[in-house]
Amino acid sequence: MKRSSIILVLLLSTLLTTSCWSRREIDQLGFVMGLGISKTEEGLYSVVAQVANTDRIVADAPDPRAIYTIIKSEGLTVFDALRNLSMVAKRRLYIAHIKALVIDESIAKEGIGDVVSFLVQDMETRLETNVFISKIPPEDIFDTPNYLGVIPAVGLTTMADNYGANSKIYISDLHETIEAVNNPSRNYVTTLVEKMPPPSEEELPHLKLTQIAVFEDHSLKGYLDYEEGQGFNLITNNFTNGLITFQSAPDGDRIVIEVLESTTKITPSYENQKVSFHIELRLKGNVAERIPLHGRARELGIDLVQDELDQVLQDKLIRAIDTAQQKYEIDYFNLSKDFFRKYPKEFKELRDDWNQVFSNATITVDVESTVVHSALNLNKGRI
Amino acid sequence: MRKSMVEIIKETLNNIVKKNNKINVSKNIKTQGNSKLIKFSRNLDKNIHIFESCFGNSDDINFRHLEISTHPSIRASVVFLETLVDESLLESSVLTPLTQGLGGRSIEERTYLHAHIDSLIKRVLSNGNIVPIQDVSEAIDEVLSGKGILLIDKYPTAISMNISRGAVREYADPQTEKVVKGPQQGFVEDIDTNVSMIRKKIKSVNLVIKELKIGRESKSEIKVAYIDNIASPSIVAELFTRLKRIDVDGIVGSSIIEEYINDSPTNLFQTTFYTERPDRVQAMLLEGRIAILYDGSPFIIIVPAIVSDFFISSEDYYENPYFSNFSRFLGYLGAFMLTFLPSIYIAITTFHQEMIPTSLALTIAGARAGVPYPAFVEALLMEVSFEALRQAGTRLPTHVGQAVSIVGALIIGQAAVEAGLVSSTVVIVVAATAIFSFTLPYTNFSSSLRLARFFMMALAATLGIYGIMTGALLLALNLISLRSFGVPFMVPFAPLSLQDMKDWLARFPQWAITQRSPHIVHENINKKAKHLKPKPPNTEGRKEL
Repeated sequence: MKRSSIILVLLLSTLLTTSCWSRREIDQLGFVMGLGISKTEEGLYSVVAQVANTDRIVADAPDPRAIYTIIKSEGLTVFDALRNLSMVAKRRLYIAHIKALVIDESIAKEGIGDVVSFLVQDMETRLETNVFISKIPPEDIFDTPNYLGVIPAVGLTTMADNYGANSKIYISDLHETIEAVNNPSRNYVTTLVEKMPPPSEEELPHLKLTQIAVFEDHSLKGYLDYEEGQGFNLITNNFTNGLITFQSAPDGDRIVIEVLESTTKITPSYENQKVSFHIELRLKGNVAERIPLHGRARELGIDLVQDELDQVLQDKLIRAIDTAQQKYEIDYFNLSKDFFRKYPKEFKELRDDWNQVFSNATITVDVESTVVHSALNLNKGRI
Repeated sequence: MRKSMVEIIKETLNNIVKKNNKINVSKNIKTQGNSKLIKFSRNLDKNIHIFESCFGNSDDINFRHLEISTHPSIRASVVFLETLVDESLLESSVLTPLTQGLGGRSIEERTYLHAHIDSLIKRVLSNGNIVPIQDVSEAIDEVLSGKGILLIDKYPTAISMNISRGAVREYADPQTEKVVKGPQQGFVEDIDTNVSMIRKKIKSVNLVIKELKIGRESKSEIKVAYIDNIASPSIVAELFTRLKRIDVDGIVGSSIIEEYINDSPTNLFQTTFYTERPDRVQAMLLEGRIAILYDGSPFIIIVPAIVSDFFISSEDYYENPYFSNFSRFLGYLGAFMLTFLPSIYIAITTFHQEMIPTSLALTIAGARAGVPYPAFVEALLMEVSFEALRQAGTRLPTHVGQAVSIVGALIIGQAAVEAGLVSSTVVIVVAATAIFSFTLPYTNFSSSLRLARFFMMALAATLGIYGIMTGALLLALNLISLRSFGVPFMVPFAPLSLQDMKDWLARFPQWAITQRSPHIVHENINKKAKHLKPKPPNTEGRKEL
């Protein structure tokens, strides 16, 4: 009895220590869906927030532009600018539901480390927020209404989640961003978002995730095209269900392989002060589409397709590696991770000019693909 | 204390009878596996003692001693269970012919009949269905199924007579525990009818019916039923102690008794169970529980009660086990939702907005736009008005009740939202809570949870999820500390008992549940044979054939 009453008193006393701390009604909150960071000409940070207009979201037929509002403010630092938003915002800004973080290219070139560090310190942010780079001011990216009634920042996330359908781009979330930023030997990549003109007169302009942006540590260095993007995803094991298109040599048919499964194994080696990597790619796919150039399609040998696919994949990988080694001289594949795991001591010595070491490393590629089935009805299922 | 005096006298009498008579006989009959036949003797007193020792514990066994007016007269006795027989039939077809039927006959004839009892029975007894029985256990079965047994001095055969109350009986539909597939029979206000329903479901001499009178003025009739060789004697003794100390002017209903015999009388939760279904009572008696019948109430109190009782429905045993398990877990979910759903709504909308999926958060925020009150007041307002609506619906006459529900649906469901007093989300939350509360049929448990819900809401409004967790902890501590007649209320969860979970948490197939709970029953644990699982016939043997 005495013990239980002590427990009861302890329990009840913990209740009194909290009071109504951090109590806030949900309808008083301004849900920030997207946050954009850019710099003004005077060198001040400018923060733009896309705030969901909840009253309109629940309306029967909301106007696409009315479901969000965009507010902007400037400050000496990002946090300062964000706090200055409170002078503009009609509601208490709540960034726990933030979906997209858009960083202006000019800031990205200087380095995104200073910008994102604040977001980690803030307890409300979620680390699964996607990070995008933009060439135009973030407010223009966010102010892209669509007739689907999706808040642009939310739409960006949906597109980012669907990257696997093409595997041509790669989007980092805030967690990866922070890891890359805080680790000098980790190079960062994420995607570029662009505003495209409307496809027809009645339609509104829309957003597109166009290219992978590559960074040296945390400073933007350049962009990868689709080929290099697929190569990047293949090497980093992020290739999920993209398509690989090539022309078959014998009759020039265009063949599309839908990838079902792709795994890459990277084996580093360190001999005679020379770093080398062996990349083993195992890929499984279907013949998803075939466009015959000369009339009716003839029977297709599966071995031939496999051999050709191997070659195509190998070219893709080598091109991606060449771009990294020669054009940018940056290890944005982060092969350093694999090297560090196998040679932790040696890596310590090489760490400081790892990008140089990477550029000079020998990288060999071994591709083996399996074409599982035709997925076509032509020729009664035969390829 | 006067009624207890009667009781004490009866018990001592029984004890004397037991001691004086052949306990061997009663033992042999009680353990019915022993198939040794016992015949009636020629001595009437001996035969009566046999019955007395078998039914010694029950108070509804009746011996009507009489003298058949032959010359000289013969002593005889009619044995019957008063709860099962039709007394007017007994009188007209047995007692009157035996005592008065020979009045007009000559002395010679009466002398002749004294020597020839077979002829006496043929000539005098006017009952329609007479069967002579030599075997004692057969006679006991007859008594248990509502027949009367006529024992005649110096005559080694018992006569079974059909004087049972028959099928003419008013049964009520069980109002609070309806089932789709299963018996539609419920207890009624008349205690003897109720006892006969139990007697008909358990035709065993081990079913003991004890009588008590409680109430200085009301002298309410109370009967306690249990199965002698299953129920724990210590629990039975404890129950009688608790019943006998009720010294009040009157008992108004069976719930009053519950209040006097509860283990924790001030607790929010009651540790007695009640039901109005005979099949449920039968099942619980067989589990080793004790039933308390109150004259004037169709609800039968059952002790000891455990928490699972309030989640189990008779229907579980009439449906296939998969579906029964599904509906039982729906009940657990219902209890959880009933207690915590409004408080979770309050907590996440005022403290933990990051826990809600984004689109839902936006919708809730949009729906709440313009609502002047905090979420707690909003939810409280709706919960209280729903409870008021429920109360109005049950108190008012049926036709007015419908009007109330229309007004309630219109006001609560629509007008309040349109007027901007409450948000549509909270209406959904309250409606869901109400629907979940209806999954629990036993109101004395669910109403406790309904009250606990308001406590949780207050905690959630001040402390968020942390408050709910604290409240849940307090609730769990409280429930675990409860006992019902010494049996832990939270069995089979605390103390953990996997064996008991087979029937009380989930609902295993019948052949898998072979044991009674050791928490309730102290001996006679096995309730059925093992290996009862049906199997396909042995085909190998068939080939050989």
